[in-house]
Amino acid sequence: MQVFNFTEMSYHPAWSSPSKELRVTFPNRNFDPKVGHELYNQYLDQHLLADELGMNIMINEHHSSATCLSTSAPIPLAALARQTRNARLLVLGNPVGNRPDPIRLAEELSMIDVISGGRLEAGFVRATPAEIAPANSNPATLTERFWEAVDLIEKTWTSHDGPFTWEGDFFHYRKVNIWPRPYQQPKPPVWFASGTPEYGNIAADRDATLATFFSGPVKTRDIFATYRKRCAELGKPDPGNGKFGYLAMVAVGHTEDQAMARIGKVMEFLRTLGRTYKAFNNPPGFLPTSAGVSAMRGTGGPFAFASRTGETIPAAGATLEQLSDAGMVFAGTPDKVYRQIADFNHFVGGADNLIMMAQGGSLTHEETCDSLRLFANEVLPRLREEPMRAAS
Amino acid sequence: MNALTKHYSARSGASVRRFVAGQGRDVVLLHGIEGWDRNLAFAEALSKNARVHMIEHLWFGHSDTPPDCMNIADIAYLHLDYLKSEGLNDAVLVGGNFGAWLAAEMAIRSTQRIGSVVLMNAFGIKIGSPTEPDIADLLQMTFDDAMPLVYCRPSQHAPVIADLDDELAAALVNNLRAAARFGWQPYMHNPGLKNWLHRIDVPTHVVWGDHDAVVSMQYGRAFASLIPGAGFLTIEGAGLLPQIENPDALLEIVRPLCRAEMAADMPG
Repeated sequence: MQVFNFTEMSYHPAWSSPSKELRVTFPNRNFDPKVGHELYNQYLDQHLLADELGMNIMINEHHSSATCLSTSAPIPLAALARQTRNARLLVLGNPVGNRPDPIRLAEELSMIDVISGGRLEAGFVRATPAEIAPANSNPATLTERFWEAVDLIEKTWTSHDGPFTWEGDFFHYRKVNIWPRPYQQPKPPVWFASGTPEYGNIAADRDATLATFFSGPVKTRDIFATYRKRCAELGKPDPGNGKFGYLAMVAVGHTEDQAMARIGKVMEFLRTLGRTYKAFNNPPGFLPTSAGVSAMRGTGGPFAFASRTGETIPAAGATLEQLSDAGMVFAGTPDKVYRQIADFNHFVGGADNLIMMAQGGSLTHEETCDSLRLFANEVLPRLREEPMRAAS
Repeated sequence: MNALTKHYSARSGASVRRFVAGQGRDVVLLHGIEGWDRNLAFAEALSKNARVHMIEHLWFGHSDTPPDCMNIADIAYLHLDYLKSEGLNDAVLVGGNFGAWLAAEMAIRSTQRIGSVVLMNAFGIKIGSPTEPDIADLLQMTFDDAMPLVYCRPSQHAPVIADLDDELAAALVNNLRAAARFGWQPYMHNPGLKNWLHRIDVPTHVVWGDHDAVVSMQYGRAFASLIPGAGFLTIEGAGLLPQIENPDALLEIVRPLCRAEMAADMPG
């Protein structure tokens, strides 16, 4: 199993603000650059530690938000490409439908791949709805723009015979010929993240790795099954477990109590989800019509997840057992965390990539590093040995 | 015959909803982001004095959604095609907000089949500095926050989400999607439009609900000043949608246009 260390790089000191909103509208006077300087470097140091401990790294990107200070994934990736030695460097993902210039991104990621000696894992995401306002990208055409950008970037990486022209619906270039080309040939591994089964088909068609973020066990299992089925239909080799990943909040402690205290801090992230002006969570055209109607009528309800039996559980007030059962959270002593992960992994049919949000909320640098060490030393070796057999 | 003829087959076979009723001068209603359904009552009322046509723009409400219909010019040509295919030669265009922008986009292209234009609380141009938005950001507002800007008397006139059946609710969601598709960036305007408004060479009336908190009266006057000879009239007790909040006052403005043409057409 491959494990990716992840932090949203939040500016959690501002979360105690009385402001109802932390995204889009929250004034940046609430950001103290000196505190931000400390936090950025702590988060990057945690990734360096993950590299030393034999783990990989995941970076994401959000904008205009106190919940994520990573506003351009290639920037932390560039620093880490130089400073890490072995870690795979996953970005999941680049919100290419919101970026005006896919060629620039193709170049940046290519540089990162070359500097790191071929350690880039290039993920693309359509992005969360609250990203629309900061980017001012058109929500009604986002999906089409996203796929055109992905196609263009992949073509950019795999074209080596001089300039080509791209005159699409959204992007226009007459001389595309990036330098450098990627280190990995024919291209860096591509990832997508999604919570809908249709992506199982899309990712299978594109031979991409597919991860779910907080989609719950049933959906995750169905999405992976869709991918496998599609491969079989297309006559492609079975993808094994290497093409699948999921993201969860993880905290390991020397004692159960310590782990509970740690995961409690990581989970503060969940309480930020509601702190967005509602209109930014439902920009026009972002959702299909029927989902848009539900959102307009307010029948979508608060952030919730599905249990293994398909029951809907509101995130607020859920017990740790429920959260662990749903693959949202793996927390406890190393033994317990190992069992939770192996068990969830077994339920979803096997996934070799775990993206662990080891730092979240106000979990301190020291606590995060200790949790990472415990995980790397006492959980990871067992997961790498025989996770599926232990689970069954 | 039911006034509501279900569909009109537009370009490439794409189908749109259509209302057509009445006798007399042809009036083409161009609905705004409030959508086609919200204009049916006014269309009915006006059809007592004119032959009223109102087709739903592509992507709005329950009309078709051809992927290659990308911008307001595509919608303008849809309606210019409609004028031609229906043989309208002297139509009165009446458009509100997005529909007024659309009317202007049609009229700068060709007034060959257009006899007169009425622009209500129009969108479409940029007059302020880069940091001064001219048009309130309705597409990034909750419904509850938007209604007091749109309506002079929201408690009387704003739709109540809970009361909408599935079809109307879906139409509303699709109207906003279409507004975003055609008006997200630049927001609800075409930076080039004001350079060509001088091409509108038919009688034009800019009318404004006097309580509009979405686009100001000052904006309306600026719009009118860019169209040669255009008049500017206000409608009392109305916000962005005079056809809903004070339809009688709007009818008083539009009816004489219909009569004028009918009189001119009379022999001898």
